[in-house]
Amino acid sequence: MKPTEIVLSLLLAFGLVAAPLPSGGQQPPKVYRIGYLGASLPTPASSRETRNWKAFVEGLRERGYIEGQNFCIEQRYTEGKDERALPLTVELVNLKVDLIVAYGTAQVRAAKQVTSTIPIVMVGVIDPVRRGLVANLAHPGGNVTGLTATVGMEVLGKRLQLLKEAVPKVSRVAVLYYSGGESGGAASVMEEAARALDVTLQYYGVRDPEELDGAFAAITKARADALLVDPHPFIARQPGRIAALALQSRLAAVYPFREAVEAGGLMGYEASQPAIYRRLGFYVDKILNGANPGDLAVEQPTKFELIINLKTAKTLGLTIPEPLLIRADEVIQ
Amino acid sequence: VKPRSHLVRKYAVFFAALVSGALLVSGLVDLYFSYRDNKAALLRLQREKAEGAASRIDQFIRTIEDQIGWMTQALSRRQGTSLERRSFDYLLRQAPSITEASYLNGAGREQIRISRLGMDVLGSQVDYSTEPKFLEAKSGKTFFGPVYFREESEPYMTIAMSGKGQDAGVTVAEVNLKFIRDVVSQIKVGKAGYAYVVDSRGNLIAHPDMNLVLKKTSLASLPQVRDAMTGSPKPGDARDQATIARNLQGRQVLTANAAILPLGWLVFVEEPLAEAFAPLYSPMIRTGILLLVGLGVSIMASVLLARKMVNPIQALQARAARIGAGALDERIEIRTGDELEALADQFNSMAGQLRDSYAALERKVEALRNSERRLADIINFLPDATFVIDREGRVLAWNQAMEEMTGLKADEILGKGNYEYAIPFYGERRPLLADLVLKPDQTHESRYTFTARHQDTLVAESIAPSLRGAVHLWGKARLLRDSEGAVVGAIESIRDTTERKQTEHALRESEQKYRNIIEHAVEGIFQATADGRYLSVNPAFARMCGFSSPEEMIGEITDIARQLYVDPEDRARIKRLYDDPGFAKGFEAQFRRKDGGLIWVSITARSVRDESSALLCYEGTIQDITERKKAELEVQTHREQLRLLASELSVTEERERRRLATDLHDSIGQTLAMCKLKLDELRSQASSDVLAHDCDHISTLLDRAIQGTRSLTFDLSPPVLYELGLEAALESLVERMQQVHGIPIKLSDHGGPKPLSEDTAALCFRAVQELLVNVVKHAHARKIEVSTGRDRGRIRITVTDDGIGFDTSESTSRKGGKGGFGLFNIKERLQHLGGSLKVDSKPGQGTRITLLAPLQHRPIRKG
Repeated sequence: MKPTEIVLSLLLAFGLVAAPLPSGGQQPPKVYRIGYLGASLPTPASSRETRNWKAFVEGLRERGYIEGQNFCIEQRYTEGKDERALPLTVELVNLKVDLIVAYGTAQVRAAKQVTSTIPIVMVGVIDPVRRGLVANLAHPGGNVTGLTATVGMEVLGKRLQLLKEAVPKVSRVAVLYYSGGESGGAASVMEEAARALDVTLQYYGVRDPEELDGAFAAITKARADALLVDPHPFIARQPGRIAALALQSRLAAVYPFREAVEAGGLMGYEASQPAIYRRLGFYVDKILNGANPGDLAVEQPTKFELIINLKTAKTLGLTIPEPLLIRADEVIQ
Repeated sequence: VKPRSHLVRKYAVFFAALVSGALLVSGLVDLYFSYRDNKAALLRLQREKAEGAASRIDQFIRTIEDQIGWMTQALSRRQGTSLERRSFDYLLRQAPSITEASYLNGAGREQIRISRLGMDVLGSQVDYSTEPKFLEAKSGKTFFGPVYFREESEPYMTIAMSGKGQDAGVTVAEVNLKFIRDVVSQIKVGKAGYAYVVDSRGNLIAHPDMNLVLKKTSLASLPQVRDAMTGSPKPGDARDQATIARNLQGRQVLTANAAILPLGWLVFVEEPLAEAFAPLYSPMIRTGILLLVGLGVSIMASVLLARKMVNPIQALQARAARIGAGALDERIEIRTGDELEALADQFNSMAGQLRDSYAALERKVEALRNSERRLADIINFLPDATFVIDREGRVLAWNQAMEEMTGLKADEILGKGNYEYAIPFYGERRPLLADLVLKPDQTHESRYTFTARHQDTLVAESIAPSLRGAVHLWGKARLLRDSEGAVVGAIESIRDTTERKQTEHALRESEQKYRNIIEHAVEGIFQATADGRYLSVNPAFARMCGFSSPEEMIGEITDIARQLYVDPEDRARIKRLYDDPGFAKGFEAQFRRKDGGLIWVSITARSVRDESSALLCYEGTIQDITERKKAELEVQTHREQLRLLASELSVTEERERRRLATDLHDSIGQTLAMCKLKLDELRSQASSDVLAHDCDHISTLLDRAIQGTRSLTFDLSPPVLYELGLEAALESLVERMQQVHGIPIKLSDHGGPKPLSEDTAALCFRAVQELLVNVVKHAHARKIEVSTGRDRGRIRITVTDDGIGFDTSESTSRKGGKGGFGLFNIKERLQHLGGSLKVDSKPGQGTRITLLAPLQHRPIRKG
């Protein structure tokens, strides 16, 4: 046998072992078009919207979605006017987006009205079952799924309780709410809580930032001794202004947004937001990979945060009771 | 002889099969057992992972239980809402999974309930004393309620614990099981594997994909879950540790489970089968590679061993083959000491015997070969293509010329028969001359263009179409006989005659071409001898001379000079030209035709001489120029007539001039003279000065008129010419010219009477007058000389000047000047009168013109 034959036989022996590797055909990735229907532009950098937006983008990146590479995003904002949600949704649908992420009840409802085929991922909605946006949480059906802002509506009463706990002498509580939206049974939950806590509620609706000064003047005039701010994207747009006005009016206030507390509000109670927005990526990914939105359960937040601004309490001359401070997740000194 | 199968291959296959077979069997057995062991280990491992996962989830629940326990113990010792409240706040801070906690007093009535989401309730006193959570906790055990789903989505479980003592209350906590996800997702099962938890009904309560839990997914339908649920979960269960099953997505997984005892939950771990079994495959692949390498090595070793065994046999075979091929001196050297060596020795002695007998044979053959070679050399050397066949028609010899002709090498054709050697010639198998001389065959012989047979020899010509185009061949074949005279074969030589044939053909063609030219030429062409006979003439010549054919002409003409030439001297003249310069060009002569008619011919011919300059013949062309001659004569005649006419005209003109001049002189001149005389008379008698003055004036005018009349008379026809002769007229002319133009003109006369007719005198006078005018006008001469004299019965007049001269070739042919004669006219008219004019001139050297005219013996008429 010649040397070449020896080499050949060895090669043959190894060749049998080395199975041919499947060659993975590289296809250019499909570029998805995601529509985002929000309430406010994510500015400035410290705003709630910016934080949430960052968490949303981060959640997408965790799942391999890079803007400009495999998806592009079309953003539309109602900018404090719920009635604009409908035409903006139509714009998104005309852009042939693959799915719509909608923030806020009005936005989700508008999207659901406009399309029953494009998947809608909701976020920041309180009790979507009661508001008729999904059939139930485990199996939403239809084209809407996503994440809720709270667990049920009880938290509306819970805030009143926390306010009462912080300032036990409170008896007249002013409720600041967005009058251009739907109440969806919030009032009854709050009224029930008010009865249990023996306080009276006075309602002050606003639908335009111009009306805030008037509303606070009315609250002061009505001698309310505390303020309960109703969660709504419109309210969420101006936490600083409302907190400043409350402080100016020397009102102990409870907010549904931590940003208001950071800006000088007395206390806030809400579900931890970044976790929710990061989780949006899960829905976007599942749906873009073919999952039926109606088959994806709606998730509710698990972690709620109580945040108290002691500086404000001091300014208002209040002493926050110890049990409450124990329960507080964050205390601003 | 090449063996059909090699010993090496046989041995190699046998050894390889033996060794490889053993290797293969041991390898496969090894593979099987290692697979089994590894798989068992894997399954055990999977089971252990499940156990580990179960214990971690158990730990999670225990932690919550402990936290509740601590708080309950603390509460049972003290009473009071504020304290309870604070404890609960702590509990909720410590255990994020507890959404709600309540405290029931010893009677089962709710004292406090605090919640993360809902309103805290104090002292509601709701009675829970009959509920299992109260009863079971009161019995001393921790109560773990069944899993329930809030809002049909979030899994919850109630945990209740009682404090120590009869009146101790019960703490009830609602635990959000979503938090187990944090535990479950931290359990790593390989890369893609994970753990999940189902409750006793098969509902999913924890899974890395939270959404599956929230969807309230039931896994009871999966066989592995069903199996696990039906089997009683006891510790140390000896059931199969892990199974291969399909998971919820239908993928093949390796799954194992473990129970969390107090809760009745099952923890499953699963891992994709491919991944789980990957550690199984790598040793298998390793073993496989080693096996193959082993096989390769064993095959190589087998081949090497077989070769070592077979090598001496192959050597023996190779040497034997070489002996068989004639290498008898080869010795087989095998020193194996066995039968093979004996065999080799036998071969060697056999080869020795063979070598001896072979040597004897070789000597005889050598002698024979030498004589054959000599013969072959001879044949080969022959310039003609030659081959030899035996009686059966097989080729015995084929020489080099034959090879060149046919392109067929000798070694390709030698020994071949069946007319194969005919193929290069005719493209088919057919007898050649050599065959025909052996075996006469009329049909084949008739195919040759020419055959000739003489005893044993046959000669023929033919065309071989297959030899590079049609080739003309000439062949000669002869029988070969042995010493007894018996026919043993035939030899044939072939010669290529194509070239000769072509040369002959070309020659014929060129002859024909020249003949055609001669036959059809328009000019006459001839060859003639010096003694006056034609060797050949062409038809054109014969026709020219009135003969019907060249043959007739050659036959009839025996003396060219007398029979053809009108003037036999012409023939003698042209013959002189043939001698020197050796040719005649355009020689014109008059011939007499056969019918007696005359023709003019132009002959261009030369003498043909051999190498020693001996005359062979004359040859050349001849042209009928009769028509041209006729035309020339006519032109001549016309010209004469013209000259005559011109002369007549001139004479007439001269006479007319003379008449006019005479009239002028005789009548007007005389009348004017009379007038002058009368006026002079009148002047002398004039009484007044005025009249005298007028008379003087008229007298002057009359003088002028008389002078004009004289001058006019002279110009028209100088009376002196007719009255006193040419010399006097010339004198008068020269005088007048000198007066008018101021150029010195010398007139000289060389004596002797020069009687001239009136016309000639007038012409001469006019000619001189014209010439002088020309000289004065154009020659810029300083000096002119006119001389007259006699020259052999003619008068000669020369006019010489020292002017600019001119080119003679132009002037004589040019028409004369305006209103004058012009040299040409003078010349023409002089010639008509039998005289001539000669011009000698060169540019820059002056001119001399000489006129000659015939004298007349009759004296010039006076009057």
